[in-house]
Amino acid sequence: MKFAKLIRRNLFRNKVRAILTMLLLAVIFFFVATLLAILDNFENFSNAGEGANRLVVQSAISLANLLPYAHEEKIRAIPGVVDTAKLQWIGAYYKEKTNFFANFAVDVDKMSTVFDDYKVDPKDLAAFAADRRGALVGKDLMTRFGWKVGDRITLKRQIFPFDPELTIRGTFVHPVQTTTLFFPMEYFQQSMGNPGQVGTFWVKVKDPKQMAAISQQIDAMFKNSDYPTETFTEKEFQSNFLSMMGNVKLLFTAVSSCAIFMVILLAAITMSMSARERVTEIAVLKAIGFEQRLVLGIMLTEFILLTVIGGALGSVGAHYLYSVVDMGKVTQGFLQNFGIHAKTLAICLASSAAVGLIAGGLPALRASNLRVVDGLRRVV
Amino acid sequence: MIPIKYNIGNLTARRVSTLMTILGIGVVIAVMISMMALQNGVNSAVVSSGSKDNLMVMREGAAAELSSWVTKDAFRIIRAMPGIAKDNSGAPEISPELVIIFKIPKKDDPKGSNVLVRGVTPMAFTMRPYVKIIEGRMFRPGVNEVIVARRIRDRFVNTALGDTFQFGSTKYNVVGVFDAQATAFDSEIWCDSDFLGQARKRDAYSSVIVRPVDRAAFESIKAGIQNENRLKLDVKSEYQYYADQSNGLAGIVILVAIVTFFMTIGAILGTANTMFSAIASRGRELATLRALGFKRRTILLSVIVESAFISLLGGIAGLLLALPVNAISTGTTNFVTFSEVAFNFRINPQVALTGIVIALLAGIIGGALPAISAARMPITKALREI
Repeated sequence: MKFAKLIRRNLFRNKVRAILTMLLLAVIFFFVATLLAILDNFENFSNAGEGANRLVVQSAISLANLLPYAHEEKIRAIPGVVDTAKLQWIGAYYKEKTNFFANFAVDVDKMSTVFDDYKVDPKDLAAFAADRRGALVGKDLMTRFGWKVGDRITLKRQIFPFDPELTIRGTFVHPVQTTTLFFPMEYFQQSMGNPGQVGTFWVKVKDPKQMAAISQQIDAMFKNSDYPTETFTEKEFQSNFLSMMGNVKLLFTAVSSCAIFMVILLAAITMSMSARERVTEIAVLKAIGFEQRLVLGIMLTEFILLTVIGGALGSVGAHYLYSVVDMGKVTQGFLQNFGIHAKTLAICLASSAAVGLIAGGLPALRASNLRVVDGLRRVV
Repeated sequence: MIPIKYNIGNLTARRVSTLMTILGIGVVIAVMISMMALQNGVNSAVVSSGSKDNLMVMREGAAAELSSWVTKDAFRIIRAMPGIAKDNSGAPEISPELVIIFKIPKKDDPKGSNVLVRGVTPMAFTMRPYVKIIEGRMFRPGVNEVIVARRIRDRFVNTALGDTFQFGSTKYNVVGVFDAQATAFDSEIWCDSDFLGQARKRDAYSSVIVRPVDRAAFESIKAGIQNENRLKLDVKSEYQYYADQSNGLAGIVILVAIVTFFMTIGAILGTANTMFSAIASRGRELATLRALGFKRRTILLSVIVESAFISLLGGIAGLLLALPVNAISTGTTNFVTFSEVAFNFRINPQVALTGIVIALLAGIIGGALPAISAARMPITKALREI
């Protein structure tokens, strides 16, 4: 590129202006990248059980209604079902209400069959199975609260009237559910006076192609019982949780679009200023034989470079910030495994280039279309 | 002091870029105001419900009415306590309430959301006089009649006056629509508590609301219930109960904070940039003013005034842009009660003022740097510039 130097010099001809514009873009794209990453994070959450071939059976009435144990045997008897497990969301917290994390009562003996995507050391699993009040804890949750295997912890009640008192017996690794805690279903049932009811059954299916059919079969089976069910794939189940928050996607997209629109307007002002300032210069370039298209190309390259540098500063900066700062801790567990992915980076860079093109298009076009005599005659 | 007329003249001389700046800042402020309106709406729909004068009795350790139950025996014990206010007819102001979640299909989502259904007695209306029926009539006791909050009717299927919806094995007839002045009850369906208990096979209440005669009675009833070990009940003010639920909406607070922070920085950088452009194009003019004897300080002030003025206009434009969101009614889920919170975006004077003040501040801060550089401009150099 023999014009690289020309572009570079023009880019910084007014240092303050260039830096301010880049900063503006950096701030806005940092923000946009963050919003997109939060959306990504939510989506990731609903992909937690990908490839695990699990269905979730809950009460058709609502998640707050429980289902009787008797349902489980009937579900397990369906051909194509590998195994089932009872799982109950406890919603307890550790010390402070803001220490929010997922905790469940689970059938301990089903960890290896139904929840086989949770990687547990066999020794840990045996120790967990042997303790009526044991806990199996995600690695990240251990670090978050500074727990060690063997620690005794007490969780505080929120939904059910008992405070789980547990001993940590082991840890597990999972690609998404890194801050989950499990404890034995028997402990929950005993504390509640053995109601023989549970919130959800998790059904491991052999063949993913059968999942839809089995799900319909389960719901049909209990349709006319006192406890009708609704069966979801794990993905649907998780995204139901997200849809409960309201239309987050629409909100975030709207806010991001407004932010980018604002940047386009303000960048356009800077660029038209910068184009107006060098009218004479451009006239000279054209006079010495630069074609109109070349002038346009050079100016647009400069403007796009300006916005892309800003956008890159913001989004790549966000990427590094979030890889250094533990957002799980900052947001008290609201965002887990938070980070800016390559896809988000690409979107941000492309949008910042678009900002340069849209904002700089008209000024560049007008400047390059100028007649040489007019340009030379004009006093700026 | 340089007359303001000079600044206004400048703004009109550079009409296009002035308009673009105003619009740019306007968009920023509009987003900010909308987000604050959202928070405000949610707040009034959850947090600022309930009276400080009412006591709310729930099971020990229950975070929400849903996970609480109060037996009918316990209700009778509480009703017999001294110090409870009496209504005009002499009945004690104590309201037993049964709260159950119904999953009802939404107009924009056939899978539906959870709605709180509250079984009440007529006393509930005496104790919450702001709950008013605006269409149809009151439900009759003992039958499958319900009244629906206007905001729920607008968003859910088969919940308008005259409609019937089914839940479990029971059909419910909508005989009335009510308005609860943007409190939590505006996200609920109300019906007779005995009927709801039979239909859902529940033989206990979820909570009991009590109005004591005065502050002393408030404390004595509270202590009386808490010290009665048989009851295993907890007491707080009704207001406190709803205020505690704000935990379930922490996500919105974080979001509003993030948006406001970034948008403010955006507005500051935006104005700074425009003002730099504005003074750059009139270096000679400013130098002439200096040469005429205007002080550096005066120039500084003049640029800041201009910047503040332009962002004030931006703030007002933003408010105008944001006004239409005021009518939007939407919903989210309260993760303490796991049920729908219907709310309106609410732009109140405080939100509007905050937006405009932020715009003004952004203008002053953003204008400061260009103003300093304008004031420092060497006269001779600037005059020589073409």
